[in-house]
Amino acid sequence: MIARFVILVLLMAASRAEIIDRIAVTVDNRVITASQITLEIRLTAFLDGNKLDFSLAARRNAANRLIEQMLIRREMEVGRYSAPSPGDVEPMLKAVQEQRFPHAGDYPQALAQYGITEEELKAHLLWQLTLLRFLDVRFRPGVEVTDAQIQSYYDKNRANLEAGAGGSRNPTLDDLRDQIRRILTEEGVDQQMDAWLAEARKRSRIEFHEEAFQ
Amino acid sequence: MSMVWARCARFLVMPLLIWTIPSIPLWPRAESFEGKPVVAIQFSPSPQPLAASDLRRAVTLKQGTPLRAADVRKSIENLFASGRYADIQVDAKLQGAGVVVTFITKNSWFVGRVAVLGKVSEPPSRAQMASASRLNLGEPFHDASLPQAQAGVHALLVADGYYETQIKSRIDYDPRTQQAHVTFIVASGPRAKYRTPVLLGQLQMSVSKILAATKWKRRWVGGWRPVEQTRTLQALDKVRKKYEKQERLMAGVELASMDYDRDTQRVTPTLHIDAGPIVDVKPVGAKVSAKTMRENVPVYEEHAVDRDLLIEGQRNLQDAFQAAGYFEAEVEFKQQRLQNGREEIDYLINLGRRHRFVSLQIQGNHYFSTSVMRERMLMTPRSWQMRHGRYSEALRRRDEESIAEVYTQNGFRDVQVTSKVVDDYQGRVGDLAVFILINEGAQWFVSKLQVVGIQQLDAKTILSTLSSIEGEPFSEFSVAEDRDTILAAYYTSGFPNANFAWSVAPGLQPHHVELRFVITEGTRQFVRDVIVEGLEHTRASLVDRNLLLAAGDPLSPIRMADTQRRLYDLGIFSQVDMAIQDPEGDAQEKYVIYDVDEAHRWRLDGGLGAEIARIGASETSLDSPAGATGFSPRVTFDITRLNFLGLGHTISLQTQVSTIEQRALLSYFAPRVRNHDNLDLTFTLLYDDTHGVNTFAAKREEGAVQLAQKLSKPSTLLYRFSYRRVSVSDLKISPDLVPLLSQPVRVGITSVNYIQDRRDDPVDPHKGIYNTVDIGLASKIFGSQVNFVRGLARNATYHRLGKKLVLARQLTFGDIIPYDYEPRYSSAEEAVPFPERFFGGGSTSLRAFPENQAGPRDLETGFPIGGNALLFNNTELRFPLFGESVGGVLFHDAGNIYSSLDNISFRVHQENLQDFDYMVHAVGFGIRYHTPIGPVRVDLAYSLNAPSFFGCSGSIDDLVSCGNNPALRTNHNVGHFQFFFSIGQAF
Repeated sequence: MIARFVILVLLMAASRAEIIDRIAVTVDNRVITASQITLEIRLTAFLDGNKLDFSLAARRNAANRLIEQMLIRREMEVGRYSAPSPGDVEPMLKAVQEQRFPHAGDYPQALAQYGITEEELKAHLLWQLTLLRFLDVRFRPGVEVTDAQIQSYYDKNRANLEAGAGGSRNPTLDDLRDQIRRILTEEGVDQQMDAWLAEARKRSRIEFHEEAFQ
Repeated sequence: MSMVWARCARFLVMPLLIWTIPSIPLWPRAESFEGKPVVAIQFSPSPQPLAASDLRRAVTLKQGTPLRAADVRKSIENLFASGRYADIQVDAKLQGAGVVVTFITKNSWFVGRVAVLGKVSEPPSRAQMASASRLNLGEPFHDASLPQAQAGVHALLVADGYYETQIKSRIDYDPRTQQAHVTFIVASGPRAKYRTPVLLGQLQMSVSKILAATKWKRRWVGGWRPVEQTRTLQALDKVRKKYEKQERLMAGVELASMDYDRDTQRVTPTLHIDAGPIVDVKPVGAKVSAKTMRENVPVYEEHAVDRDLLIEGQRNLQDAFQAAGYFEAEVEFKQQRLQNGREEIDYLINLGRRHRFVSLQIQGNHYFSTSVMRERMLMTPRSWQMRHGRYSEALRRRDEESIAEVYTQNGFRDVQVTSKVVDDYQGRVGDLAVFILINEGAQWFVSKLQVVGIQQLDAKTILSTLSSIEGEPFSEFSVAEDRDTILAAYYTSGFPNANFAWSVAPGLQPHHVELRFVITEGTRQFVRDVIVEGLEHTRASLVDRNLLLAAGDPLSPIRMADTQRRLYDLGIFSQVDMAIQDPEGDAQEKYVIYDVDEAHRWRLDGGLGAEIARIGASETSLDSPAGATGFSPRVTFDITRLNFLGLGHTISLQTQVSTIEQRALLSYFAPRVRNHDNLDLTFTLLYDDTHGVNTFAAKREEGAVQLAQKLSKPSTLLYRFSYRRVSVSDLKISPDLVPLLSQPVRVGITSVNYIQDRRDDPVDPHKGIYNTVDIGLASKIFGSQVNFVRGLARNATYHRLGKKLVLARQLTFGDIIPYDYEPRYSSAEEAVPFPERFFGGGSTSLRAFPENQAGPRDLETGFPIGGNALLFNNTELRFPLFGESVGGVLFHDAGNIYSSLDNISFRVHQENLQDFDYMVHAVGFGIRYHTPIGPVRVDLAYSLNAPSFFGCSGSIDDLVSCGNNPALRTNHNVGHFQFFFSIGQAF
């Protein structure tokens, strides 16, 4: 009797439909699905060497990263920005393999452990490359670093800069000028990117489907 | 019992866990379906909002293929991109060795009809309120849209003084079309009134003056006006203008707040005013009127003083001086702020010598004629209209560019245009000549054109419309034209995303190129269905007949717009909005929506007026057979019923009562008969009791039916049958003398009228042709008591002479041929009853005469009796007088109304006082003031050979006995000078 009941329950469970994917976020007329969020978590965890975390907060963070990705992709389509070719990813992939998985067999095992395929990893790396190129083309030309800014940065961070200079004793402003310019340029690019993303978010209709985050 | 529970509990936990699993996003479980064959794809709910073809295209999962998460994701993306879904979830269930996939969907909604109910006095109108909701027809509708929309309507009502307005909203969802119809129910409450505003800031003007400028308070009757948005904004503008009059050009007047007091229902506006300095703009070094300064220095118009505007003023003044002959004029400005709150702007002007632009010569042009060049140029040598000509350096540069552009557009890619200015030309001091020197260079041609990518449209048809074909000149302008032509063809055929790219390569021969056009067609869109909203009284069949789109047609914006125009043309809709539902969505099949507002079906018009013309001194006056200035007051009342029975037909009754005419016209208008666009049917009933012609009063009762057939854009045919009974009364000539003419007569006449109108502007034509031919047959067959054939033809042409002059001419010819008339008539002329005869003379026919005074006259009394033939020839030379608005006309009119065709004569002398069959000539001058409704016209004509005649003076008894009493008969003549005032050109 009990065995029959167990079999019945197992049959019922087996015939029960399961959600395999759903809309999690909409950005205007585009969607981010729940499976994309899961994949994003897996890929990020893999590259960062972290444990898989499917908590609500982690899923929301991943969703937000995907929203930004979608806004940038859309901008690139409209602005007809050139994208890197899939072949450009190979050196990056090789670097990941060499740094993270020096022993043969570790890499495929890690992929399986994180539940991702190499193709998915390549696509993710390609996106990172695309993002870097987008930043360079879209924002870097708009960042101007003045001598006054360099001077100001030097004055405020002199101690750190001197410490960071290593062998060189008491480096002058001229010694550090290029380094400071690079730092300030990167900061400028980041600020512009953040401002642009905030504006793009405002312009877009972004809707979270809460059922996908429960 | 408790034992049973205890035994089962450990088993019950398992199903409970299993059942709760789907609510926990354990996405790794989806992998258990990965790679299993898809045995079925289902949708829940079963009826899906996408058309079957779109659904097949969107879902990339295919039955019988392995399930892949990427396909599921792609399917969700595609379905959502169609715009028809708000949410999508995909379930999977094992079935045997395979998997059943179910798409569980939730539809999205789109804005449908937006209506406003409730009683609100305008402003705002219902249309304005609907517009303020910012709910656009066909666009996606979300729950969050409604509060925003309601806030928009509320803000508009508050701006118009309805501070206590209450708005409720209702949404009616139509699942079939996914439309959400939104209704706002408005309880506006009372409209608030203004009260004394609070004025803050540096006023520099008395409060009373500012208050008066706002016009918020009634001037004579007292009290405050109701709040209206327009009135509030106009008040700010008026206050600003008041400051402007005090030369405070930088005055700022801003509305800070509108504070409503619920108890008194009054609004206190608060204005922030900054009067700013007095700005004194004055010319130094030349005498320039204040008006010229205002026209050219934009600080007055912009209410601001900044360097850019002052520079613009400098440039404008310089151009103005140069255009007036001071070609070397130099203008600079100096701005200084004085301490007493004033600011001075001095325009320092050095006019230099005054010149005359006497000669413009173009050299080196072989491909284009000089006249073609001149048409594109703004520089103009002096003429009688422009004493100094029009020249400035800016104009010269612009003309050089225009010439270069026209050459470039025609393949002369290396053209060079320069100019040389010669002062004191031919030794005359101040005379200026400009030589335009053109070096055309080689003309480039297209040696080969390759067009790729045209797949779904007829390539032959498209290619036949292109300019950049083999052997034709090559220019980027032509390529741009071709791009527009090609994309327009795709756009109208339902390809909204069609793309065009082109490349050019050197040809085999020198100065030849090979072109390649690449067309990317993109996805074609089709009409899923046409939805018409807003019909209340109109029959759906009427609208359906006028739709140019149907389900399955390519989604053509042109046809959509044509349908909108056709619906407007029905004349029964006050507004026709159209939209594609969810235009941004990827669905290939789209709903096209028309949202119509039916116009008010009843229209009442009333009017009072008067006519002052040579219409006879009065009804009883007998001593002015040639007509005299008369005054006739007039009352009109019209009632119209639109959209009769919902068929789009119109019934109207137009009535008019004046001292010279009582008239009622009942008409029934049925447009687009039997769904033929070019056929309109009209039935009319007319009662007309007129005293318009001095000789007699006529009462006309008439029924008519007319079918208008539009043959082409310029050509129309009118088929008409009229049946009328005309009786003559108040005959001012003796009935004894014309007993047969004065009898009531019934006329049944069938006529055909052909109209050909190729004028550029019917109101004020400058070129083109206008022809009409009207042939009618009155016969006993049609119930007529008299038999005659009536023909009237008119030919008018308009020709441009140069840029400014227009030569207009018109020839009008008419003849009435009576036949089979009763023997009691002594002549054919008499057989035609009075009202059927031709009468003429006046502002639009022959300006040698007052209205209807041309032609034969009664030999006893001198009153006009009309004729059976007419011939008029009018010639006008039209020219500009002052600027663009005032023009002049020199004219010559010749012709007359003749007793019969045989008596038409070109003779210019009247042989005796009984002779009216000669050609009367008049010359004259007129002035035209151009307005949007046509030119206001004043004509003064001088008749070179006006007729003289015997006429009677005295009482009616005297008139009757006039023939027997020669003492009453005196010599009269039609005055040589005639004066006309009216609207519209003479022809």
